[in-house]
Amino acid sequence: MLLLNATGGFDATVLEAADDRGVSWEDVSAGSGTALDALGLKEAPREALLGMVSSGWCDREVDRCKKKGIEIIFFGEARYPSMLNDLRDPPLVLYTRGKGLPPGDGVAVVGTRKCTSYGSGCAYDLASMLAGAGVTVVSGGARGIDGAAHRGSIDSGGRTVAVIGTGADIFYPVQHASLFEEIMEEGVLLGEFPLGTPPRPWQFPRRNRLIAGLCSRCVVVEAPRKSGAVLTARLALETGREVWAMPGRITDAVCRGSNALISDGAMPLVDLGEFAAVVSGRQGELFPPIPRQGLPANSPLTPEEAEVLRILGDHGDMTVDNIATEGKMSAAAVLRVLGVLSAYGLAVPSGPGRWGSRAAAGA
Amino acid sequence: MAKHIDLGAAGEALAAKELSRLGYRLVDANVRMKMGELDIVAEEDGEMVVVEVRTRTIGRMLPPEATVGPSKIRKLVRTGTAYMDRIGWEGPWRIDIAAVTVGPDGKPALEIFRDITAGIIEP
Amino acid sequence: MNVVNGVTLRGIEALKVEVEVEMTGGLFAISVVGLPDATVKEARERVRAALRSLGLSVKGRVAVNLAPADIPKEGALIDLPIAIGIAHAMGEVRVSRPTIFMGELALDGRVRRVRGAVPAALLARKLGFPLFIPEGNAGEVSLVKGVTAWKVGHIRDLFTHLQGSSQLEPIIPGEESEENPEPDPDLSDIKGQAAAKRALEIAAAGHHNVLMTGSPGSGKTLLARALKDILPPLSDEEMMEVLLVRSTVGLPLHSSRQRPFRAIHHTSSTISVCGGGTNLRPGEISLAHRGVLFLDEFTEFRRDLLESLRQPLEDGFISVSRASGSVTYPARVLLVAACNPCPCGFLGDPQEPCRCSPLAVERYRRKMSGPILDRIDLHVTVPRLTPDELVQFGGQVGESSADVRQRVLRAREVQWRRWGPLGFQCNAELPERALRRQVKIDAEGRRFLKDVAGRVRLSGRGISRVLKVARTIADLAGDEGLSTVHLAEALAFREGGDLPWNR
Repeated sequence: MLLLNATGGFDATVLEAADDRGVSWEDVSAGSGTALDALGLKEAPREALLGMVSSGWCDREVDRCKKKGIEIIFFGEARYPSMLNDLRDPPLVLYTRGKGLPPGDGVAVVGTRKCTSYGSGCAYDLASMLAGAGVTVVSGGARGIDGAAHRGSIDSGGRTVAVIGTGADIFYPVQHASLFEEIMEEGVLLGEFPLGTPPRPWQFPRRNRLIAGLCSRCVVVEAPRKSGAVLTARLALETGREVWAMPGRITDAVCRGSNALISDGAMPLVDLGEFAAVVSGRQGELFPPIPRQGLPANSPLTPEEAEVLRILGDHGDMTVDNIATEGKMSAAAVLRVLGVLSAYGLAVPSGPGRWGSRAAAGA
Repeated sequence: MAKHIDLGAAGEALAAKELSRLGYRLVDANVRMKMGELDIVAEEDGEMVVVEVRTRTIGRMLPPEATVGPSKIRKLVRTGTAYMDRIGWEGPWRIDIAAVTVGPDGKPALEIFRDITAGIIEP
Repeated sequence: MNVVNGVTLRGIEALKVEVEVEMTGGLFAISVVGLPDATVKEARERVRAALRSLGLSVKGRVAVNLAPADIPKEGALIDLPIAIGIAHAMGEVRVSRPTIFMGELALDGRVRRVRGAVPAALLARKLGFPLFIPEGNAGEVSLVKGVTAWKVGHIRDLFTHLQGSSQLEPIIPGEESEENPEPDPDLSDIKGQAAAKRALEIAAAGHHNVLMTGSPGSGKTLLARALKDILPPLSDEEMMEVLLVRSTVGLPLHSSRQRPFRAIHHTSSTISVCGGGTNLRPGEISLAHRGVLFLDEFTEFRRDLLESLRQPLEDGFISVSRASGSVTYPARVLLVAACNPCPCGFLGDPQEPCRCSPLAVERYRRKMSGPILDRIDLHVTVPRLTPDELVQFGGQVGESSADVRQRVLRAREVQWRRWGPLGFQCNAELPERALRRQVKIDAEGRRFLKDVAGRVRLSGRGISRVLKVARTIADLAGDEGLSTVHLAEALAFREGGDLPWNR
């Protein structure tokens, strides 16, 4: 099966075909011409496969995986995530690396690489909230929304699955190397491509279907029209998953895709707490996010700090002047409060000179 | 041929008359030195003046003053210096050009160019 | 000793040049010894023409010697003394005692203004010589006390003065005034921007360098210019220093007590900023001495230019050298830098979308490091106000610069009293060791600082900066000891504190 998978042209459906046509695995691994013909292997992949058979590629691949601590899971095994069976074309082979696939279903959080700081903030907060609710976050390990989602989950002590479009021994993008290390501590990197596969454009749509498969709900945070994330959402829909999208500003092209999903029937995600409650089936107030940052238990907010937080929660993008006017405080007092709140991560700058609260803190 | 010498002599005479009128005190004329000749030597306002007279009839190619080229000037400087030495003059002196132009009607016109070495001669 | 003297400039110092003239017989020629050839020819023509305008015809050989021979001398300033020297040798004028003359001659005899009048005045004062300078330089010289000086418009007037038949106008200290500079924005003219204004107040009070980050059109330049007016006025000593530099470059004066403000562009040459060039002229940083040096589009500056600013920012002076020698210029400035939040400038803007990829932003962010950033104590972001927000401020009038300046002055006084005995003038100057020992924080404050420093990953230097700024905030409030209140506000101005880059 490894071989077939490696040729890149096959998925688990081939197994049925093999049965129907009476092809046995020994024949395939031996490289028998008739067997390969029966499976409909075209010339180039057939050459490649024969080459791999003769060079003993399979054994080497297994070896390499063992050395790097990468597990190989085949279709049909007990460990194979059953959710993937919902796909039209489930993968033949899965390479996993890390602590292991978390049980239960997860929520996919996807979006564009070129996101706004608002978008990445929301992805982070959402993932954080889900982690607090004990829900696994699934994403693609890419820059932008994906990265923020993984981060949010990890920072809140959650488990996350990064579905990658390269070989499991490659970290792409390179800047996420340390992020992936952290993901592997509690969660897993997962992909269907053989070791050493570099990132190639056509591999990402294929990995997107795995994301759609591994989740029960798919959330698109921010994506333009022609985006991989929108594709993932549609695949999720086809696979019978619930699709949610976060509304964005109608003037911004970066969220036209995610907004369009809403008018196409995706559920609008407008309240993180509510969403987490729906997903986990528990009441929202019972699990505020557990950020690594936060006030120490023995120093509650001063009235000034609480007031500023309230103002920030009610509005967004506020300048120091705005806050001072609204809260009837001096600018110096506002700055003082912001200095503290930002240090504890409760207030964040949304742009030069403008402040907002953490998306989850207003719940 | 003689005509041009006449012209020259006439020119010098005219120049001498004019210079006196302008306040130059005539000191000497047609001085022959070893390295050259000085047409007129005069004194004006405390300064000795070597006057080189040039005469030309109009219609000739060059204006009279243009005939005093660099080598001529150098010669005048050498000759003048030697003359000042000879008469024991240690004060300032300069070189002027008196250009006499004879018009087609035979009437001469005189133009004086003062201190022709100023700005040219480097100390 | 020669009575006729001129000056030549070395840096901001004027050196005496004696003018000796010998006139002998022979063909007319003026030779000047002690000047480079090119300038000799020019000086000669100007001098001769100017003298001729007086009806003086110079005859014979004139040998002018400018002593001492070994210092390089500048042509134009020395015109007037050469002319007077010649006239003196001819017996046309009488210079009875050693005197300094300075000025460039026009062909018609007018005396043109020159650079370096103030250094010359200081030299004249030191030597006890009277000074004759061009009319156009009277303003700056009038600010120097204790000099006997006259202003000369035309060489004819100087002649008759020296001949005794008329009198030039003496320069009366303090009377001459120059044109008024363009008015700078008053703080009350700027709408909103409470955070930035507060940052400027703190910067002015403790002499802390500032970095402002904001989108194009947010008003950073306006704010930087407003800083000038909330700084305390120049003291007498400081004023002389500023005057000296301006005079050396030949710039007209501004009204005396205002601090200088110089903006440098990122394409400026290092020489124009730091000084140097043929005449070892002072650069922008010296022209900004005792004032504000503004670096707009800070991220676009070349590394080598920034590197060359490092030393003067630390020492307060800059050394400029060439083969002919080296010179030290003062360069104690308050640095204000401004930059955008990202390459396109609109990261986090409520109206304009940011077109930059995360990678581009990351690369841009990395440019914010280096020797200059190390010396910046205050980081503040400047929002671009939407039209609605601006309208909101409509009727209100914020504090005027004068009001803020009062507070700044009081804070400065506290600092002088506190640090004077140790040899410092303001909180920003304090070196690390003195800071730790001298600045007292109460127990609660210390706990707070320890807790927060870990969360925001403040380095040792970062903590020092927070302490210095907190000390200034406390001084502005009139508080003795440092407590959480001051530290918390200081934290708001920490590096990266309010930038939407780190999530």
